[in-house]
Amino acid sequence: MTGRRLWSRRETLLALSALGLSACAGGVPNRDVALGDGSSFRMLNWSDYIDPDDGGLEGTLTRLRRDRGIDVDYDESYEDNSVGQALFSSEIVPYDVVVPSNWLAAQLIADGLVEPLPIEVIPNHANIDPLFLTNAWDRGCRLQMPWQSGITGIAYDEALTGRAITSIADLFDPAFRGRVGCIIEMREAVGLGMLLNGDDPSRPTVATADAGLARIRDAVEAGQFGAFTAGDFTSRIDSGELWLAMAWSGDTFLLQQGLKEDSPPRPDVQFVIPDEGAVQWFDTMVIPKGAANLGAIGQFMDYVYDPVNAAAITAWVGYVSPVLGTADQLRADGLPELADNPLLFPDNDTRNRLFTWGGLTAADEARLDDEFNALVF
Amino acid sequence: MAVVAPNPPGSSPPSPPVGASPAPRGAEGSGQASGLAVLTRLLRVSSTPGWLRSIGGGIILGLLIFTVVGVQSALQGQDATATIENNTAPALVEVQGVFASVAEANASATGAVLTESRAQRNLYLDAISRAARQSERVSSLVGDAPDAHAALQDLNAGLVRYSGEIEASRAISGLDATDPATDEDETAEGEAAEDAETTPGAASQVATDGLASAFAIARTDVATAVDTVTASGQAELDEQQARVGGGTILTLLVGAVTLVALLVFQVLLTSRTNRLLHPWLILASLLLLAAMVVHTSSLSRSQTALEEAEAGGFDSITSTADIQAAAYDLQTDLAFATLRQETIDTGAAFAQVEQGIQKAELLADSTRERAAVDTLRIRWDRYRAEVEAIASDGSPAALDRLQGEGLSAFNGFNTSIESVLSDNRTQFLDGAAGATAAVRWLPASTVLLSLLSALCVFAGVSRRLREYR
Repeated sequence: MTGRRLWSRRETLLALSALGLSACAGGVPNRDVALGDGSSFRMLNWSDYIDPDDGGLEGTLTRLRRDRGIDVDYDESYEDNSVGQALFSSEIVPYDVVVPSNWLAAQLIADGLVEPLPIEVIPNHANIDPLFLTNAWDRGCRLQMPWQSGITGIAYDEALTGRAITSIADLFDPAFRGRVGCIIEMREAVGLGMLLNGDDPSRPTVATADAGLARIRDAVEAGQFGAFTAGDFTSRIDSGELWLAMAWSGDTFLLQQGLKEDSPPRPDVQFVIPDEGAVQWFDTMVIPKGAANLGAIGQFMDYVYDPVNAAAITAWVGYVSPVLGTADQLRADGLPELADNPLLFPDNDTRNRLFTWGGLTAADEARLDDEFNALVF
Repeated sequence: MAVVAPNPPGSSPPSPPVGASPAPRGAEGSGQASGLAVLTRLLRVSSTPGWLRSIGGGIILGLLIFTVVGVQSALQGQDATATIENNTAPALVEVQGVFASVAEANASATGAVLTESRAQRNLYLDAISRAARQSERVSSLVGDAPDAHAALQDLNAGLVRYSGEIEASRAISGLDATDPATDEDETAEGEAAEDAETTPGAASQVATDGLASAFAIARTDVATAVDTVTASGQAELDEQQARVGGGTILTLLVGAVTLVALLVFQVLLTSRTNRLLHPWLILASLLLLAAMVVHTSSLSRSQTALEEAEAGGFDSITSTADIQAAAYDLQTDLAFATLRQETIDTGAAFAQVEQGIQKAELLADSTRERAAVDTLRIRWDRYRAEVEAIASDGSPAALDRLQGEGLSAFNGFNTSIESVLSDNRTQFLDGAAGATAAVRWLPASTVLLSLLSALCVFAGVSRRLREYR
């Protein structure tokens, strides 16, 4: 190598340079992240998204404090992604970890608003399900770590619909006019509309997204939807107000298991991934730029990615865990009915029919949001 | 400052009158006189103002030459480090990314062709379009290296042929007919369909053969082109590294001669003026010395940064790329064997990857990089377990596993390689940026210090001349 020949010369010259200007010396910047020595941090998450202390059982945050001495100032007021958008548009984000949905995380990363993960203190980073590692906006999950994942499909009460629901087209069947619930998340509702059109929500274009939105608009104008819901679709189905609805898998699971407040167990309520496919999403932990105590944050992330703790969270929240080994842990914990539940652990065939919103430009997404919100709010 | 009270003008050792005859030859020819003595004698033949001006002017000329040579050397260093930072290093890193993308495309291609999975097809399409983008970016970075451009043309042609084979195979398999195809797709599909037999079994065989052909293209054309571009980039890196500091020796030589002249000048002045110290000339000497130290220090720091970047970053990148290549071949062999329900010997590939991971463990030089390599090992163990399970299955169910758990484990492994690459890439690019930063102010500091030194010489000589008058 020709460059190597300079070594001898350089060594000689170094002796001269050592005369007095060593203070000028630099070198390759240190790539290790300053982790901080604090043992607490502030986290903002969606409500009912972590196992709490329940009777004699300690929740994850209590166990974390006991096992690793980390205190989390945990706030559950992340009501929807507009909270995240507002937070990150302010000068100072008053949290060290925030859990936006995947599409918002992608925007935040593109805008350079998040810190790299302190993976040197997250050995369980190796437990991330590879499904989440191949997103173009953060390959290998270097800047975000999925919290929970869910599927937006169709929940229905067959006693009311009178037949099995198999297609997204059923949501638009005039026979169910006024008895259909529409989800208030634009990317999920429009995504289902796109799938019905034969388009792919993971590779949206302005035209296909507009066509998906047109499906929703036409249905709204025809009075097809009886309610626009978030997690409250469960109570509306339970009460019989809605017969079928665009639904989140985790909330449907909780309804089936009787874990929803004010609802008895409703194992008869079905959750279906339509023939055309369904929309998959995930909420993911990001660290706002300038957050302190990265070491403590990394410890927390590592802790919740231990399958033992991930299983405890899954058993409580009912969503798809992004942590490898969670199903095995649930079996070991004597909960095989959870480990084998396809809503919690979709099989390969199911996974192949799930589509994660691919994203448009920020301006196009904002326009779609505005147009969709004008329809549903 | 300890300065002996100046002698009144004229009280210094008497200067010979202007036009005095030269010193006797015998004194020079004795062979006993030192160079200094000779110089002293020569100076005695001229007037004090005359030799003050002559030597002062000579030293200033030396300083100007030092400035020119030093600035040229600094600019050369700047140009070389800027080339490395902006072109060579990113190109070397990006071309390894092409490899990762093609590996991922390859891994998902089987599922994309043989099943109706749109998700796997999306994975395949994303990977192949990413590879094309990366190749395009490399093309814009490699400058005018003809062999690299030729290899990139081969790479792009290989990618087109590869995706053509995949699309043709997909068309033959008769699946995913609803997916809108591009004109290119349609052409490939049309040609393939004409070639295919009409019976389902034969079509499936043709589709499988098409996949095999695509894999072969990826393995030979693409891999060879990536190797060529990498080798070209490495040669460019070596060349540019050699340019950094290439002018240092000459600069130091000129500086050293000038400095010696400056010191001798002061000794002579001391002997002729009875002054012990000459503040302006001392300052000039120190400034020149500082300019030399800054020059060598900057360039050597720049070289050190580059060498550290190469040793800690790029060597790791190439080592990681070797792991990728081995795993990539393994995945391809596995896909071949599974499609044809044959067995494969995975021993050599396993050993190669294990060796590569061990090397990566040794090269990891930060906790972050070590963590990434630890993850790589865990993901490799999982992938290896899947490969063993698929390879030993031998039943049609193995194909499902290849496209399910096998693909998942491969993607986990492949992205963990990318993570290690990412850390090395950061180290490599940071090193290149550090090398550029080390010489950012070098031309300006060289000009400033050496011109200040020249001004001090001028001031010192002027002062002596004023005293003489």
